[in-house]
Amino acid sequence: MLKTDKFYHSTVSSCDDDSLSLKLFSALDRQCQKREDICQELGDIEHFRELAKAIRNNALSKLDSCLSQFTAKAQENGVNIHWAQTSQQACKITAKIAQDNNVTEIVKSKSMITEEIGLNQFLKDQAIEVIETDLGEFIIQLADHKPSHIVLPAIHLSTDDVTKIFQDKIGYDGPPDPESLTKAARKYLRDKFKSAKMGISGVNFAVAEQGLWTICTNEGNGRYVSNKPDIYLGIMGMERIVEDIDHLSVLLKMLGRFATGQRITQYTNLTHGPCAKDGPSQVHLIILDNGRSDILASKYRDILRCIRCGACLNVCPVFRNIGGHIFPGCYSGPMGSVLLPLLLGMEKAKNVPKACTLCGKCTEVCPVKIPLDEMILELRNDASQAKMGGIIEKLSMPIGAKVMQSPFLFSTAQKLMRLGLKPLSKSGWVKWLPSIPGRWTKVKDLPLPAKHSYQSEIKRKGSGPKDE
Amino acid sequence: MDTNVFVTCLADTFYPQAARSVTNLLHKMKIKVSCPPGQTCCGQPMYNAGYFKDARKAAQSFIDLFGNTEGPIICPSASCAAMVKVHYPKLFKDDPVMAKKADVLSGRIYEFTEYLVKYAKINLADLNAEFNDSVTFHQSCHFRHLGVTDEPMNLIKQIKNINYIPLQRMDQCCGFGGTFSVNYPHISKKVVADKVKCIHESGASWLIYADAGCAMNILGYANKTDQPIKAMHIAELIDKATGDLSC
Repeated sequence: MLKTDKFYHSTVSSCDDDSLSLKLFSALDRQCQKREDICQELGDIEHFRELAKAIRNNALSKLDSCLSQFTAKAQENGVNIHWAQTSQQACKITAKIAQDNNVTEIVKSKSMITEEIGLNQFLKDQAIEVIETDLGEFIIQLADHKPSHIVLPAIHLSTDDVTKIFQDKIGYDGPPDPESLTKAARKYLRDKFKSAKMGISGVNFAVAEQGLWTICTNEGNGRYVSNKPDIYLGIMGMERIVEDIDHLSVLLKMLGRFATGQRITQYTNLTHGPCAKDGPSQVHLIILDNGRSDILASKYRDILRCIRCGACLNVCPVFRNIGGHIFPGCYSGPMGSVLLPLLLGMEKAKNVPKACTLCGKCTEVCPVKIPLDEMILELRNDASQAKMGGIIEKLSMPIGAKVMQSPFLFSTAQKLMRLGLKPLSKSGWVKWLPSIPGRWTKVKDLPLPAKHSYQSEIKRKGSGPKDE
Repeated sequence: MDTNVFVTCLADTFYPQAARSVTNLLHKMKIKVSCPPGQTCCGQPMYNAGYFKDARKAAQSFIDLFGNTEGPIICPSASCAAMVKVHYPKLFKDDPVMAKKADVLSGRIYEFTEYLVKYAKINLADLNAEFNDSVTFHQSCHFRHLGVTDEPMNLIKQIKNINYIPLQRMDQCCGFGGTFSVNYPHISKKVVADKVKCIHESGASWLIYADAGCAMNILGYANKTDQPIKAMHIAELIDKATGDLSC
């Protein structure tokens, strides 16, 4: 079952690429260290995690009233609010805004929600060009890659890779160092900022009380995108809202620290709406559902607390080896393993939650305490209940349960296993097995079961002292 | 108070010496210990594979068996202890009768080092523990679920003459993950390869582990790739370090 799956096959090719895990390990270790160091400053980080969780839960528990308060206030501020039920609707609304204003070129800051809805491709098909202005996104747009990490989209590329891409795509002839490359990108993008008539960004958090929203960036491109062009469009997931500014301040503190190991991102923009003298004359905001209402009503609602910091990706032992490209959607790592089956439907992503060791490191670092590993388990159970578990598991699990229910069957199975494996073993190790167990012995040897199990040993000799 | 050993299916089958060492040590501490006969498995393999219904059946057997005993249940595995402590109550949340029993057992189960440090409040120096070699320690993932952090390392450090060398990325998963290791053997291989590399780079003579699952995975890969590792369960280390029975 697994072997016919596209995701499964992609994990094989990712694992074959040792250079990928090498790049990921060193970059992600660095990210983790930065997060740990900066979180230490806060003292009792558990207190802040609890607080951030409560703030997100609070907003989710009254999402309807938060959203109506927010939209009323934003409209009062002159913002055009658009509701989109689906990706398709959000894309169409965006295209219409552009077409109504004769826009053919859009500058955009990094935004995962636009990846979720496939906005760039949609607009391209309508002959509208989108220029990514975040450095990482700019690099991968030139290379025609997808983001490989929700915060660090070009983490799969080395400096040499980037130099080559710049040489091929924008005629770069400088040295292969990050500073010179960044300068070249800055120069290239500055002209685009000047000429583009429309800017698009995602939304990190919307604030209900004031009807404003924030974009957090480190390069200032979010500020350009939302201020320089005449038309600015923000696109937000309907759950990305908080009640008031105080709540926002806590989440900003957490986002910077957990995403990039910073106290706060270099630029934190608050957008109120259009301004006659300075800034855009038209401000639009799309509020997207795309399955979120269903998640809110389900046992998986806790995943809507997610603030897209990527900390769970950074610590994930699986992500570190397979990267983010091969996931069947734009979200990856532990949060992606939960979100993708919910957003795309279980059938399209049923093997993603299986690619997890359940180590729980993601849950341990999550700034809003989402029980990611428990949700992954729950999704596996949903898949097995929906008969998507694979034939071998479907047959073996009930048999396993039967054996575990009977001490006699269990000890018999232990003895048979030893009997069966003994002829195949050498110096206590089994090096080859057929079929499913062969998937283990292909990469690891299997220890031969002990001559006597502990329970059979104490049955014979008792468990008293000096039983050796 | 009397104690009970939950052997766990993997230790029972592959590493009986771990369970033997737990019992030995408790004897040395003059704690009465029994090993209720008829033990099988806590149901974790089915649970982790997402077969909750089948996991419940195995868990029911565990609850029936240990529900009839009293006192702490000590288990030489963080993941099996976490299964009983953390996951049993959730597994039976829709069955009030079983949930109550699961809650009781959840409060009685201890991972081996957790028991020594948190319950028995042992100091190994009092038992004249001594070990003249270098060791490193792989922190099993499921310690996280138990809220156990430095306890195993602190125990190791109480042993006289031991040279404890911290393992790089010590709490990173070894890549076992139950059915994960056969569903995605290639990913599992890469994860364990890093673990084995870190173990060798530590330069320690011994790898100390706390879970049979991790041991099978780490040592199995090390053996397959001809980079063998000398290893023992933390209960074995402490049993060895505290010497023969003096009572």
